[in-house]
Amino acid sequence: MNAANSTGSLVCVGLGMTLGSHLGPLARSHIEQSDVVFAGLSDGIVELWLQKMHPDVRSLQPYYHEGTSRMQTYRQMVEAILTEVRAGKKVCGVFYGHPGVFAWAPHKSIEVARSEGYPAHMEPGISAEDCLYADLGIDPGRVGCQHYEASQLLFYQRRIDPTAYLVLWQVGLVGDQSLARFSTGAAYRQLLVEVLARDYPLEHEVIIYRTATLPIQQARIERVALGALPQADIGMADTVVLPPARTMLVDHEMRTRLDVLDRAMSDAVRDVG
Amino acid sequence: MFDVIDFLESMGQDAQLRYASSEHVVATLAAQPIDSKLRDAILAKDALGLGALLGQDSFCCYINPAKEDEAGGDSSEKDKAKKKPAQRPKK
Ligand SMILES: C[S@@+](CC[C@H](N)C(=O)[O-])C[C@H]1O[C@@H](n2cnc3c(N)ncnc32)[C@H](O)[C@@H]1O
Repeated sequence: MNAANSTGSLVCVGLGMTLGSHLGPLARSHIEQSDVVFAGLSDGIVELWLQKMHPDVRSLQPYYHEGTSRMQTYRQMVEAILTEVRAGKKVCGVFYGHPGVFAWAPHKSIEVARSEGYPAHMEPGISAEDCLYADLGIDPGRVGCQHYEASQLLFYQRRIDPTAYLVLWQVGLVGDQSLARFSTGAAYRQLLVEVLARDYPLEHEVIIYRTATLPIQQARIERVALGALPQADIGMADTVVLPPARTMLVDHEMRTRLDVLDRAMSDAVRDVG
Repeated sequence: MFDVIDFLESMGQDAQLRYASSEHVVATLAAQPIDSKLRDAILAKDALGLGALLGQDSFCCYINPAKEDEAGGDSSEKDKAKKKPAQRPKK
């Protein structure tokens, strides 16, 4: 079917992290008004909740297979979603948290749908990042906050600023080059610690964080020394936070230049007046 | 009919219930037509047990690749093993 005269469309929405607590009214309305719903969630019980909102919810879970590259899995998810869009359906992709935070498949689905001429957009949701700021009392604006996919610190040469917060995602499978495993392990986290030890002392406190996906749960907030991270129990849904190790350094040169600029500006104002 | 998922939803979106004491949850649950095993799992805050009772396995929550466009990311280990030498993964 030609996209120009097709009724197909796509919206990707976030369900938030906790069942019942975070779903916004607009996202809920998209779910209820769509023809088909695809579910990329992190908890089976949350999927049962979503099924109550729509009669045709298709889980993306069956696409995961340990031993198969997740890149291939994600492409299959995009294809499944696009197949329905191309068939003229109003499709809603529902993802846990925020559908655009550390989430390749929703972004890609929207990009492909748009490239084929279908209307497609994203509605934000409450991500693990949002919960983390609340539960750990962190304001990302105070000294800054960096977010990295943990493996990228091993695969690539990145520059970390230890005067800001550092949030590491997907630590449970850090260093998995095959993209085909669901978890790696202590030896892989040891390499991550080696990289981090370039900027942080091994005694530096790190926080292992997991927010509740069910309202009967409490957040996991566990503090361990950086050097003990390899031995810690870290699962798929855990996020690791490193508070700053040093204070921000004053940039004396730039402050002096700002002083000069301030004086020049006030001189100019005086001259005009 | 009101069921355990409805109960969890109301717990998630009610300011009192979300952080309620066990006694309050016990009292609220008692008024609902919910199976006693499910009720026990809720009171024990046993998410895994509750999932098992509802026929749910643990879910994979990854949806983001650490690298996209390099060799190794495109095909599975199994596929690679099956491939002929001439079909090496693209660089
Ligand atoms: C592919 S990302 C998806 C993030 C999601 N889109 C969001 O908005 O939070 C998966 C990673 O998110 C983080 N994550 C997922 N569930 C979490 C939870 N319940 N608490 C804390 N972090 C979580 C972990 O770092 C996990 O490895």
